[in-house]
Amino acid sequence: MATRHAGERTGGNAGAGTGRRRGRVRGPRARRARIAPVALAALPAAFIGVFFLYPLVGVLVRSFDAGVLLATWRNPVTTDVLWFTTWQALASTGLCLVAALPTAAVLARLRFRGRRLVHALLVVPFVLPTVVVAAAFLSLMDRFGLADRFHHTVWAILAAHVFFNYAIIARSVAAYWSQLDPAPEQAAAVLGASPLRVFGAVTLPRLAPAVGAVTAIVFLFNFTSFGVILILGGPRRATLDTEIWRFAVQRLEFDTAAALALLQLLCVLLLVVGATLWQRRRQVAERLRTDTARRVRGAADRVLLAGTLGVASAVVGLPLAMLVERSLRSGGTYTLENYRRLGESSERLQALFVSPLAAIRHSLEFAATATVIATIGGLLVAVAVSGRRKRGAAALEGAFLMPLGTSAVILGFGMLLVLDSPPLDLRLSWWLVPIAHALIGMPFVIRSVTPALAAVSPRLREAAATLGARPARVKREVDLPLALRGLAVGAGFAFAVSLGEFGATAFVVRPERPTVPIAIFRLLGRPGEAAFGQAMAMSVILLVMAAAAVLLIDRLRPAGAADF
Amino acid sequence: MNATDHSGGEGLEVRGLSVSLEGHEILRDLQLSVRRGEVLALLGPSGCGKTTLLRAVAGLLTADAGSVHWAGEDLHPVPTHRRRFGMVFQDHALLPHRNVGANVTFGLRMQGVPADERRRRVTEVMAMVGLNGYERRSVATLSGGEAQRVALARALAPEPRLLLADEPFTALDRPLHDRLVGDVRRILCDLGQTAIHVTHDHAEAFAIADTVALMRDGRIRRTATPKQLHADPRDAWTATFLGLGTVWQPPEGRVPHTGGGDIPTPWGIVALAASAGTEPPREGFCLLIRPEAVRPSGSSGIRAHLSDLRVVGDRSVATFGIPGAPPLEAYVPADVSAGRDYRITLDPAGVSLLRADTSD
Repeated sequence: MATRHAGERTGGNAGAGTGRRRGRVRGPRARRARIAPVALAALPAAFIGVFFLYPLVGVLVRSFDAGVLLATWRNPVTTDVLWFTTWQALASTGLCLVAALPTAAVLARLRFRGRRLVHALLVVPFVLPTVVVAAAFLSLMDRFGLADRFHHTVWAILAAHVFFNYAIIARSVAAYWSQLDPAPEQAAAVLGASPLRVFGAVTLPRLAPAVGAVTAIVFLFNFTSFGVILILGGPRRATLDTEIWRFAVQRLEFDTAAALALLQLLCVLLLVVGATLWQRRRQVAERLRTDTARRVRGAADRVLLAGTLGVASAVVGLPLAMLVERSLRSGGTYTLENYRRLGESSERLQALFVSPLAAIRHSLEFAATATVIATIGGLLVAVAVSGRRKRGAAALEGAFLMPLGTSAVILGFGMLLVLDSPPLDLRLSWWLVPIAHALIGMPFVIRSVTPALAAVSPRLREAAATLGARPARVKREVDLPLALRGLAVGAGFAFAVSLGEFGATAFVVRPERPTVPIAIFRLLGRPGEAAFGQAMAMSVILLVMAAAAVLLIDRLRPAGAADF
Repeated sequence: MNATDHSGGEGLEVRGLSVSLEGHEILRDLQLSVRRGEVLALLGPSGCGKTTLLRAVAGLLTADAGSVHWAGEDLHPVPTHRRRFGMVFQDHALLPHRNVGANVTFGLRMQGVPADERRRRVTEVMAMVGLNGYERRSVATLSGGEAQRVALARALAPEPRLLLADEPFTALDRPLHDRLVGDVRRILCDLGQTAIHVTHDHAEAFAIADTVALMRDGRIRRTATPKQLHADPRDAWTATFLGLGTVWQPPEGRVPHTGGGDIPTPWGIVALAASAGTEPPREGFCLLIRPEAVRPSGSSGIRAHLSDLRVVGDRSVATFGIPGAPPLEAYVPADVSAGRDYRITLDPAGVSLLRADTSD
């Protein structure tokens, strides 16, 4: 959305913009200017090729090679897993919509103090590590004595999925809704439609593209959910992703895992293609305004607002509050004991091999490295994309966004599968984790920097050129400083995502060098009060780090920039 | 002074320039020369190719054919950043992430001028444009007029060989516009700066430039001083574009007049002095009737309806209509009133012969 706006703004006068010129291009200067951007993308392209496409191909080849493919697919257990994966995703998505759409309506239509803060806080669940969410729901059930009844049931899974995706739907639908021109609604009212008719006949159809798009994304998230299911679902509640992990990591049956991975990839592909076709058919040209919300007026508005904020804080706030509360409890009293014990590496915690504090250090090192890789790669791609014409640019950008649409489990499995023989024997390498995180973080950098670069008026570059700046100098003096904010936002997301990444890490991590999410997962698998308390304390630390990153990002993000 | 100035090595020479954008021919075999120290206004309606010509001169786009020379040197292999031509953009294009001072010193920094020399020069140009002490301001806090002054200062700071200004005042309101035009004229004269100033506003072109190059459909039609253009527009299109008065085309089949003498018009016979016009055109001709020519007279003349009366400056301008002829504008005394009929006569001194519009 932001990109399209920027494009309109920089429309240029008299069709004289250099980007679209067709004048005969002569001389080495012009040719070099065209080749350079593609060369810039070579490095990130090689990175994606080796660490994303090659593993993906590895999974495909492994699954075709295996005679177990048909056997696995015909196995009634597989059918059960596929069925459960699908219906829990459908149910989760439906519940998310029911919970989030009223919130979206209020956020879109009412302007109130703290609206921006509510918007910002609603991103927190999105970047929360899945293990933290699972831990939060464990503590919630624990607090209200529901653990026996709900742990390892589908209800816990559905609740966690609603928590995760509620904010995504509310935010993205609200953002679109608040920019819709209210004129058609007003016209319908003038023509005699009651408010309810107006909503049903005008507003709802207009919202369909936004709701449809976000529904598809949320369904995809739920379909490929991993950490939540693994922790809350227990051994009897398996989805495709958890089964792939179980076969690959616990039972080392790579052939079966590959067969399941192929099935998962086909399902996701079907879903993406279907959603794209549906969206293309529904596409209408809406003229978007900046913000059409109105001030809160009267008692009805206030009740509505209070109700919405109540629901939002119950859905998002309650589990997190219970997590914090639980982390402060040990032996029946409130204490900092759980946090104090994080430094220990006692016998009781041998499952970890290292102290929780060391896990925090690993996580920070991995995240910093992954962020550097993702930022440099993303910046190179964004610069390459910005130098190209519209269609080529979209294709190029799309190629680099692929890791975002692939489940982290498949990513991790693929890396485990192919990066085990020279010259790419990285099984024991420290680099495997940051590389996997960088793959997932890079699309976020690209998505934040590309619109920032596209918004740079070509006039500014020309002005710099007439003042004597060489093309390379123009990039450094004009494009780079103007894209810096977008770059910082992207880097922040890459960092936050890396901190919480669980799916891919679960495959490629070395046992003696766990990240915080892995450490939490292991602690949750340990019996005993102390391990549980420590898991909660670590979850709170991860929560604070993720929330801090998000709030920082929101401060940096220019108004109206792209949302994820 | 005309387009075929052959001083060659002196200033800017544009020869046979053709540019196509997106399949449309924008510039066609265009010729233009600007002498050193001259301020030339490039005047033409929107879409005639003025901006494209400016961008080709600056090296921001490549021409299909033709050449741009400065002081005898072909600029084709010289990229924009080495041409040392300053440019002022319509939307001023100030770098938003740098303050006013850093914007103005940008060009000097690119040239590697030392810092203390840069500071001295910035103070100098900021004083020139009347914005002393603005150096630390953020460009976002500037008004439209201030932003254009800063853009001018930025373009002038590196002492460019040629200043290119692309409709810099278009977005400004009238009083500010007029004041800036005066200021810029003074600054360019004081510096002896060679400049091309693009505009579609003839009043602005006449106020700012020594020479006006009239542009239409991708070509320079005529280069002349403002005075020459005003006194002798030569053809119907120029007279209409400059808003000099009413252009009347005699109905077809009427024998073209071959010199002075009596010409029948809807407003009566006009006795044109033989020496009044230039060489009379052989093919179709038109009459330009300037407002000064139209005289409301008490009793004689043609009856005309005063349909509209408005005040322009300190003068009252009336529009007179008679059936079957275009409306005439006239300067009238304050005692006439709209909606009434008057008798008018044409003073031959305000009427001149023009070439009819030939569209090629």
